[in-house]
Order: sequence, then structure tokens, then C-alpha cells
Amino acid sequence: MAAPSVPDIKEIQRYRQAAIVGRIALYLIVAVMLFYAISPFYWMLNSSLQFEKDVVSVPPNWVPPALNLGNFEEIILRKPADTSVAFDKKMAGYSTFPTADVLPSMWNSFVVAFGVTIINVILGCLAAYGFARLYFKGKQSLFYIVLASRIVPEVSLIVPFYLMIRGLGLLDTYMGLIVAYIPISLPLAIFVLVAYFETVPQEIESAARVDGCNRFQTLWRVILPLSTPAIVTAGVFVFLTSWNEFLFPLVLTQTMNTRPITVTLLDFVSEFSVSYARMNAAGVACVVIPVALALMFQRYFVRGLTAGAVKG
Amino acid sequence: MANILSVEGAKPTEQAGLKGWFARRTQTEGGIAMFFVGPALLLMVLLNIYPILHSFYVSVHVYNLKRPHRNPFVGFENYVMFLESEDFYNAFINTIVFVVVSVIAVALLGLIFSLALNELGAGVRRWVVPLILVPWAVPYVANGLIWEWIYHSDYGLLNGLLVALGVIDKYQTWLSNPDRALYTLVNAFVWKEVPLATVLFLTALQAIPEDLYSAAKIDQAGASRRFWHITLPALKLAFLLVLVYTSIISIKTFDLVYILTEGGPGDATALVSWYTYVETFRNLQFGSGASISYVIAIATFILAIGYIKILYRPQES
Repeated sequence: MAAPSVPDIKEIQRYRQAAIVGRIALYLIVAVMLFYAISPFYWMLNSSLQFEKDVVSVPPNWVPPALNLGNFEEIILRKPADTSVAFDKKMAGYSTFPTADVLPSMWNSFVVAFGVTIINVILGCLAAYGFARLYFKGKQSLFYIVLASRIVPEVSLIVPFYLMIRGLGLLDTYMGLIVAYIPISLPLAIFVLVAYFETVPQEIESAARVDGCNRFQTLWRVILPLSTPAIVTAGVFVFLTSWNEFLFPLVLTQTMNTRPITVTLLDFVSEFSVSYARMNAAGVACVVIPVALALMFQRYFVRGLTAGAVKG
Repeated sequence: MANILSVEGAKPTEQAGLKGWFARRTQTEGGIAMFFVGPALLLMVLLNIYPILHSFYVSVHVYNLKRPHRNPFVGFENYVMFLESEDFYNAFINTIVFVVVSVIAVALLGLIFSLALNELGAGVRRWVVPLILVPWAVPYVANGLIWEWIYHSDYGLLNGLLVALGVIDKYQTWLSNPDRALYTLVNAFVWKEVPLATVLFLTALQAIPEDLYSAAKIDQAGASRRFWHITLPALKLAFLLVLVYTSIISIKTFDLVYILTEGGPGDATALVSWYTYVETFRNLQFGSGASISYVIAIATFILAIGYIKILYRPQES
């Protein structure tokens, strides 16, 4: 667009001012977004690093007045309660500090989530290739049935699952939890992978086929190496979904042999024996691995999800 | 003709036994597809479809754990019973409010956030997006714990902050206030779900070719027209995903209720999933619990179909 005449100075200035105001407004919005997303974490971390008497002060301490790593020591090493107990008891009205097995249950969460991730990513890649690249009868409807099966609330699947897992003798085992978690995240993994596989150009695959690759080899050597973002995205989704699961392990685990961190966390929230500092420390332990994973792999998400959000 | 292990055009085989079966199965693309799709489908059938059918079976019987050996068939009596109950009606209304407010909030905030992020320079965005995404990674149990502590009526951040800012002059109750409790739940839910919506919108925004905007500018289309005619249509599919996904999981919301309010105060935050849980595990009425979740599932399904019908037109893409 060619300017019909030389624009006058005032107009340029007004345009510049508008641009600056726009920038400032934009950064304000972004600042509010960041505050909204991050401040609850900050608050949990802040409370977990304080002494119990500081945690229950009014007005609240915006930063720890005295740094205390004892809460973490306590929940991890199961040390007896520290000397400030007598004082705190009066302040907050609790009777005892619960100590729980935080590290073993984090390990349990990790083993189960990792197992489910391996299984679902492998099954998901195979199935997604079938859905994205092969023709078979009833493909569309099968795909939708797989996706739609997630609609039934978990609460109603608990009882059949409990009976099934008990029947298989898998109660309170890692395998029992893995079996229960697989169908929860498999449809999502398939969905993300199918959308991405469909964006891999057909020509590349045809070339590989002409060169003598069979279907498995094409998937393994051509499609998968090109699909890292989607595989990582699906893997992280599956891992997080499994790590975050609560209702299933609440019913399907009985001892510390398998109880995941999400269920162990309950010990710290129980109404009659709350230590707020320790409750927050346990909360930190529960979120540290998922948050680290999300931060580590987020750069893949935008590309991994693009196919799903743009092309379906 | 294609073969799973050898190249195209291998001869049909007459071999008997497993090898022959395998060879015959892999003569057609449909046969090959079963080797790829089969394992996942088999697991989904065993681990999802079967429990769903089993739970339907349970829902048309009386299953009371207090009397474990008498499970008479009662047809749809369980369904009629809870549909007529006032507790369910209350939970139903609560759920509708929860779902509608949550879905609108998630979609709107996600849209605003993503538009803002899209305006940022790529360098800044690379730092902001991961931080925005963090709440999404948090388990709902921890999410509940975080917000329970923030809402705490004696020592919470929310009260402390509002008093410090002069919005309120003395500490308030949040979770135990029947008028506020449901919205405190909504807030905790929205906080966790906005990040994924933001990323989905953002990916769609970034895929819009810059040429479209340049062309529109040449045609003298103003910012609002560019937004309505270029940006929004490009976000259609992302909207569909966000709406369907958020609706499904908001209807199923359970962990948050369990940690934050246990349905209280009174029954102000009893959502249908919580009602199902109470019926199943506290009243030990498995049959009636299963029947409720069927109705929830069907309602969710109809909702999802509705979204797809309204938003998704394959011929446009």
C-alpha cells in the first residue's frame, strides 16, 4: 500500500504512542498470566520452607522469615517432630505430626507411570500407524469408539476393575496398577500420534516401500524418526496422567508396596493432624517430578500438538 | 497386495499352521492393519469396554455390599430411583453450573492468553510458555492441596492478599461458605486446565500463514475484521478440542471435590461424580452407583456430539 501523500508528523506520533501503549498493555497481561500460573506454586514452596509457627501467622509471611529445610527432612527421613511442636500445637490445634513414606511412594508412582508410558507409547505408535496409514473396514468408527470410551466416569469403572484385578491376583502389585492405567491414557496417545503421522508426507513412505521396506520397517525407520515431537508429547501425556491418577490407586493399593504419592499425600491433609508446613512440603514432593518433566519437554508440545489442533 | 514382513507381491501361500495363517492374514491391507491396531484394540476392549459392559450389568441389578449374595435383577429401577431423588437433582444442578462456568472460563482465558503469547517476540515467548504450562502438570490431588491452603480461612494467602490490598477488611471463609464453595472449586479446576487450552490455541495461531494478515491489511481490513475473519475461523478445531476435552473432564471432576470440600458445605459442591462415589463407596449401593455413571456418560456423549455438529465441518478443511 503506497501512501498517497507524506503522512504528517502528528499522525506518526499518534501511531507510535498507540504502539507503545499496546506493548505495555501486552506485558501487563503477560505479567498477570504469569502471576496466575506461578503464584500458587510459590505459595506452596514458601510455606514448605517455614517453621510451623511462621506458617500460621497473620498476616502471612510473603517470604520465609527463617529458612527451614526441616519439613523436607521430616517427611523424607521420618524424623520425630521438632521442638517447636508444643508451641505450634496451641496455635494450629493439631495433635501429632503425621509422617508418611514419601520417597517410597514417589518411587512407586515413578515405576508405574514409567511402565504405562513404555507400553502405551509402543501400542499407541502401532495403532496410530494403522489408523493413519492403512485402510480397513470400520476404521473411522473404531477410532471414534476408542476415543469415546474415555467418556465413562472412572468412578463407575472402579468396581469392575477391582473385581477384575482381584480375580487376576494383581491387587497391590505394580502390574495391577499398570493394567488399570493403560486404558486411561492410551486413547489420548493414539489421538496425538494419529494426527501427527497423517502430516508425514505419503511420498517419503512410498519411497521407503519402493526401496523394499515392509510396513514395520517403514514405521520404524521412516515415520518414527520424523515424529519425535508427537512421541514425546504422547509419552509425557501418558506419564503425567498415570502419575496424577488418584481414585484407582486409592482403591487398588493396600500397602506401601505400591501406594503412589498422590494417595500418600492424603495422610498430610487429614483434618485432625495437620501440620501446614509439612503438608506443603509433601505437596512439593508430589509435584516436583511432573513439573520438571513438563518444563523439560514443553518445547516439543507445540509441534507435537499442532497436527491435532490445526488439521484434526 | 502387501505383506507384513516381505515386500509387495509375495505369492499367496497354502502353508498350514501358524506360519500359513500369518501369511494368509497379511495378504490384504486390512489383515496387516490388524497387526498394528490389534494389540491396542484388544487391550481397550479388555480393559475398558469390558468394565463398561460389566458396570452396565451391575447397574440393572441390586448390588448392595451389605447383602453380597442377593443381587436380584431390577431392570431400570436403579435409574428411576436416582433420577427421582432430590440429592441427585441438586448434584445435577451443581454440575451444570460447574461445567458451564468452567468451560467458558477455560476457553476464554485460554484464548486471551494465547493471543497475548502470540503477540510476544519469539525470544520472550520461549521463556513464558513453559511457566504458563506448569499448572497443567500438577496432579489434581496436589492442586486441591495447594488451593485448600490458599483458601484457608485463618492463615490462607487469599485472605492475606485481599486484606493487604484493602479489598476486604477481615478474613473470610471460602471453602466453607456455601455461596462461594462451588466457585472456589471452579477456580482450582480452571487454573489447571487453562494452560493446555492456551497451548492448543497457540499452536493453531502459529499455524496461520502471515500472508493472510498481510493480504487483509492490503485490503484495508481493520484489526477486528482480521480477528473475526482470519483468526477465529483458524481456531475452530482448537475450540472443538478445548470444548470437548474440558467438558468431558469437568463433568468427571472428582479428585478436587474429594480433597477440597467432600461435597460440602452441606451439599453445595456435590457434583454428580461425587454423588456417584458416595452412593457406591459410602452407601455401598454398587448397582445404583453404576446406573448414575451411565447417565453421566450418555449426557457427556450427547454434549460432545453437539459440539462436533456445531463446530466441525469436514468439507471446509
